[in-house]
Amino acid sequence: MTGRGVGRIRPRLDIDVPTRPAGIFSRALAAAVDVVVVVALTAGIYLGFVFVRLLLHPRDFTWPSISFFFSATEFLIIAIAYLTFFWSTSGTTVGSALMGVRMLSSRGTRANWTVAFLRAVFCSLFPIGLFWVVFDPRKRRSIQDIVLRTAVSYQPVVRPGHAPILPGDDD
Amino acid sequence: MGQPESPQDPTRSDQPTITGWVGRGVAAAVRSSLQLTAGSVRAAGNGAALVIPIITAPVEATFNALYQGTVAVESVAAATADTALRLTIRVIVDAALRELDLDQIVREHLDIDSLAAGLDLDAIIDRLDINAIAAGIDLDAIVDRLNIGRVLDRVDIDEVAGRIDIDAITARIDLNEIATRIDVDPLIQRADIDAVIARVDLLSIAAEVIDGIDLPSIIRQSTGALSSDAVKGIRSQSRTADDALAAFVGRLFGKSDSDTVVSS
Repeated sequence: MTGRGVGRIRPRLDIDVPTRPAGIFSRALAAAVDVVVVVALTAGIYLGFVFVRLLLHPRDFTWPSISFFFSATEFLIIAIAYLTFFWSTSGTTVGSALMGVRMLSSRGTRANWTVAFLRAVFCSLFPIGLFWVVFDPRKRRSIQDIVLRTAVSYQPVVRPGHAPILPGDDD
Repeated sequence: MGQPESPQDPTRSDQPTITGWVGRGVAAAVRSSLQLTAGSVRAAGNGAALVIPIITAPVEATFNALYQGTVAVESVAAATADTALRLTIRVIVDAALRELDLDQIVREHLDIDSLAAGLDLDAIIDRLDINAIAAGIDLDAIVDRLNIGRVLDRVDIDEVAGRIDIDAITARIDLNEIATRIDVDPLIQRADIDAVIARVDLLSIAAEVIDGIDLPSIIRQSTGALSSDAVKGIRSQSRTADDALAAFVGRLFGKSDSDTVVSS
């Protein structure tokens, strides 16, 4: 356990329950949801920019170029910021929360800002590295996991008054 | 001189009172003395008539007149004596009543209990004509004099209500029969629905209903349950697919995925 404040969320992270690494389908679906979220964020930023421009120059208002906002650079910047923020704060993006998976360091602790940023850049520029999970059936690691010593695993199911259980055992 | 007897007592004249007896006694005495005198005079006259036949007729007439006079005197004396005695007795009785405390006398000297014990109440009641008494009662006047409010104040409505067997009463009522007799159509035609609706504050009622329903909570619970079920399904399916693909790839590459569980 390292870092200030992390201890407050450690009980959630360090529950003494064996977890399993998430497979390709769960992780790919989580990534797809994250892509949708990033696109929605980009659209939101575009609309916000439009409204600000309308307020400042109502007479000279013209719709700004969509291509600029929806360019690959714009998308990559927003995606990296999005992934870095969520992986470093909770280890869970919107997509991974939906799919019940979480990105942690290989020691089971939350990744720090640097690792989260590097992994976000790596995943954004080389998303196909995720599919190495298929060829690593035991540890189900992507190339990013291997390089940065991270792991994506199913979140244990914690119910009030009940012992944590392995994902899938409650079905 | 007024008649002392009560007009409501017609038997009074037939059954003379003590004053009547005394009056009659006095009259009889007067009459006897007069008759005695007349008899003596008559006897003397008769004797004289025997002696002097010429004067028989006038003497006879005189005697008869004298007898008639005695009869008239007798009647006048009887009435006068009766009236005088009545007046005297009335004055004496009034004076006596003023001097005497009748209540105390009755209380001290009269044994009311023994009198009451000697009364045959059944016989008295048998002699009573209750129907005639009831017919003579003016119930309307009595009801007018009744203070219904005071009577009602003394009535214990709860006690009365407790004695009433409502179930028995309701069991005897045929509500269906009553309901079939009611003609609803004219009632509905007479009802001004628009006025009723106009008086109803539908907006406030709707607001109260919505407040009572706690719509956000229902929506939250329903959508939460739906989304929870959907997410659980997606997770379960994806985990199953993960395991199936890992098993397939493991068999393909000769690796086992049975020990893929790692501790965090």
